Amino acid sequence: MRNCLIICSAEVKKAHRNYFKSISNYFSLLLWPILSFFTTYYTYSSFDNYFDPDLANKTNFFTFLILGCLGHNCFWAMVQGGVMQIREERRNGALEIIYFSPANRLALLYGRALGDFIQNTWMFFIFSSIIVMLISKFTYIILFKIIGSFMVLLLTSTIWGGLINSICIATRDAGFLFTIGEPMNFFSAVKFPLKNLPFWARAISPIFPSTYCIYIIRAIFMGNSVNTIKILELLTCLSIIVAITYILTKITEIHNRKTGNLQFY
Amino acid sequence: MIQAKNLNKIYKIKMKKHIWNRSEIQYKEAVHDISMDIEKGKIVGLLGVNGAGKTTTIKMLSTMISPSSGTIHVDDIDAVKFPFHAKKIINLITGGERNIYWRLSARENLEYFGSLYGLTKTELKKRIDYCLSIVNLTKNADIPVEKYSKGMKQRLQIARGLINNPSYIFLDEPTLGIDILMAKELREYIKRITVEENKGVLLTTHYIAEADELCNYIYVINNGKIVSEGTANDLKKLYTSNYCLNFIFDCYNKSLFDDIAKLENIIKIELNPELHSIKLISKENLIKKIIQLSSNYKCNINQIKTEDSLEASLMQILKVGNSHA
Repeated sequence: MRNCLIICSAEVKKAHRNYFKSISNYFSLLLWPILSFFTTYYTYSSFDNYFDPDLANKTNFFTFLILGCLGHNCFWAMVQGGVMQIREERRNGALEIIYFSPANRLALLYGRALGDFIQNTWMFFIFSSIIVMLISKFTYIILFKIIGSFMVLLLTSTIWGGLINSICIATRDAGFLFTIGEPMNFFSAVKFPLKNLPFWARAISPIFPSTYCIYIIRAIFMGNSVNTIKILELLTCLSIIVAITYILTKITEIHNRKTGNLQFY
Repeated sequence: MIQAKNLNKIYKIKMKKHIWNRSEIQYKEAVHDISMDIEKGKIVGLLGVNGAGKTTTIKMLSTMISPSSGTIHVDDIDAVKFPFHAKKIINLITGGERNIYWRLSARENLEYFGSLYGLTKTELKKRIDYCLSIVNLTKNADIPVEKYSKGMKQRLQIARGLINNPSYIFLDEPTLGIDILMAKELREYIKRITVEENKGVLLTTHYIAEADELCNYIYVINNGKIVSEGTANDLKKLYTSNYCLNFIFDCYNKSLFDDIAKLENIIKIELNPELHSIKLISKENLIKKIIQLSSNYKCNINQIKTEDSLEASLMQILKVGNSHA
């Protein structure tokens, strides 16, 4: 356990030292998510009669959208960070040296995901929190809600990131994961309520943990009671993801030791 | 001690065919029945041409790939069954500028790679300071690696390879692409860590002189098989049937030089009247005959040098190996 914590901490520090070096980061970490959020907001605001009566209130609508964007941003950061980082490390040979070490593989994967989460989402998280505090009445409860949401986002994104990282280790052609962005955005109901999705789409939604995560943080902030069934569904989904990550990691390790594939890029 | 017995590695290779046809699978035996020992405090060389099976062997011994058959024991650990246990006491140093993070400083790199071995903050600090001092990078420890020269990056690779205080180190062409001065310096580091820190080292290199200078024992590999083994001197004696002699006389005597050139069994001769020297390669040892001739002409010999070339031996070994293949 101690070793796992050391590895996770090393991954977070490395992510910060290696990838947070230039001013261009501020564009990708803050400006683009904000632009994306306002694009969505003004697109929907153009329609006077928004189709969901619960969101007719501008404040509710604003909170609803920014929480959706925040959730999506966290999950998408895992895909971007995982694919880019591992591709680069595969090319420069660092990945081979990392896998030469006796480091716990799951600790490596989750440490990386945690590093990506902190690096890529902290600015937009702070921005979203400030917006939510400004449009709601500031109370200590809001602070607790922010901390609670942060914990939900941290847990779910990191577990999702672990899976993404394990896929990137398993195959050098993990670029296909970039195509997951738009479907995840749609099926997780980032820009509209889940109930508005057609039946077939609602059947696909549970595949993405972001669906539950966004649902829960919206429920926390928008005064809705958090559905216990949704929490159980989220825990089940996360357990399945952890199990897949574990199995995939084991299979990849055995396969790479057999073929020496880790050195290829 | 690392003991490898009867290692074999067979790769499955998919042969590319037309897009609509199923690819054909072929099996390639990269390594065949290799056995070797690596003792602590000794440098063992693994020599061979490109594609001979050096990298596959080093990767099997370092647990990066599993052998198709055979056993590897690192001290008392079965490295095939328990690679994670073996990984704790070994490390790998490769040549070139890859495998490290260029945006990080040397200290940050070592901090990261050391953490992968579960070293705590205090242990890391001590170990990093020590490793940096061994490779003379202490002064530049906090500069980003991208600002380093090629040689400094290679020294950092050595420090990285020492971070977990391994008992055994695998050096895969560590002086690849660096200048002769830096290569000499690196060879000094390698000698130092082997002797002073009692590490077992396996070295693969293309530079024969490097193996000759560093290795206590050498394995020559060709077509995936060990074709010869022994100390550098053993290999030279075993495979060099020719004599390489170098004479320096106190004066130049044309008749003497002409008579020497007429001796039988000379394969190649280089006469240098200005330096009063003769360098020759012969099938028999001509020292006695040349001393006799020089005394006949009353010309003193200032120096006699006999040279064995590991490179010549290696060529001979590989020639024999190929003719049997």
